[in-house]
Amino acid sequence: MKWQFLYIDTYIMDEFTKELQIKIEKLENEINFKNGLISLLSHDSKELFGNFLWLLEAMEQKTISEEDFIRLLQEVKRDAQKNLQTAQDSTAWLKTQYGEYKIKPVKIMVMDLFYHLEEKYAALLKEKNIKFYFKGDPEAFLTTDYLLLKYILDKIFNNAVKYSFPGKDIYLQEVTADDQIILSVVDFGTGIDEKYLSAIYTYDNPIFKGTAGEKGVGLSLKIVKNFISLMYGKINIFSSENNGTTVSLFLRKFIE
Amino acid sequence: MGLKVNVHIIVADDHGIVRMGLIQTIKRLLPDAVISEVEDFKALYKVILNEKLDLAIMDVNMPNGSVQEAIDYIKMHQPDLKVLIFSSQDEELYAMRYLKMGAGGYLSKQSSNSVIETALTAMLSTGRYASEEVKEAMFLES
Repeated sequence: MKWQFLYIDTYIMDEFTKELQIKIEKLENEINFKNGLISLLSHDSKELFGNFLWLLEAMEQKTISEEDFIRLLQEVKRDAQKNLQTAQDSTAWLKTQYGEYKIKPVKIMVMDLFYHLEEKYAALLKEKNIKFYFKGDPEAFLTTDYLLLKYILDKIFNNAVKYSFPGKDIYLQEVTADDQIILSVVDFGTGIDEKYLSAIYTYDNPIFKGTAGEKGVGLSLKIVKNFISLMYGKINIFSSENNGTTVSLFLRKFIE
Repeated sequence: MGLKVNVHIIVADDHGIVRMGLIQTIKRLLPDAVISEVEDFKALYKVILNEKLDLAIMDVNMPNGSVQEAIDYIKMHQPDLKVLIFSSQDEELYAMRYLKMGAGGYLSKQSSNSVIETALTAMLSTGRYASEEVKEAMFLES
């Protein structure tokens, strides 16, 4: 009898330790994410303002030509747009950090998400001559947080367009299995070398230019991963260099 | 020891403004220097394969590669090439990381022209440069 109690005590302790380890790991990930974000915001702001100041001073001191000034001003503009996007992404994430953040589940038709992406990216898709289509059940739906899901799909789709070769297709695929729905964005673009996949959600991974020279800061996927866990979901990225990428979201069909 | 006159320097940074500013400073210090410029890691690798260089000045946040890969690539193809990291990252926090990776020096993009000139001279003559702040950080870490 005494041994039985000891066994139960050990079992409870083991479970408690496991639970603590999971919490510690989660907290460590959050700290790393926040440190990385602060470092990124600090670096990119210093770079933008430093470059802008240099350009203004160079013009005042006439150490660059007017032609160079105009040309380099375009670079400052692109950087300002990139920084603004970083600030907006950081704010989107920050909103989930206040108090006890709770997702707001609503019924979402998958086709509505498709139409939203189709409309938002119409100009970019046309520019790269990309055909975007849907595969799956047009009546499919899920109940989850609309704002988070819209943000996640937007970022994934943005990457798909960025890294797609002109003239290739992108599709949104829906597969429902029991109480799970899998939404995948499939592109046939540059893909990514397998060696970079394991660190894709960290700040250490390299940043790659899009097929039209687009530059990002590599922040969105980290926020996407964060949001997916808030929705009790999972994300999987399969990629093959020069063949394309499939990003799959494994989501619960219903969240109470 | 005087500096070699026609040194070959490569400036690798994805910002045209940074490249232009740095090249102007290099030209003032070394008017006969041969200067190449690239805007990403892939282009840097191509130059390393085809041109004999004395100094590579590179940013860490360029697209299409990573600093560690670039340093490894340089050590493999031009082991004598001196590498100076030129970045907006906080030097006290990040410089050591790049020096440990194999770079010879770390220079903050916020440095004045005179500091940049000191760093260039040090890199070309000894292959090493660290600001007083970085040296202090090294002492604190050791």
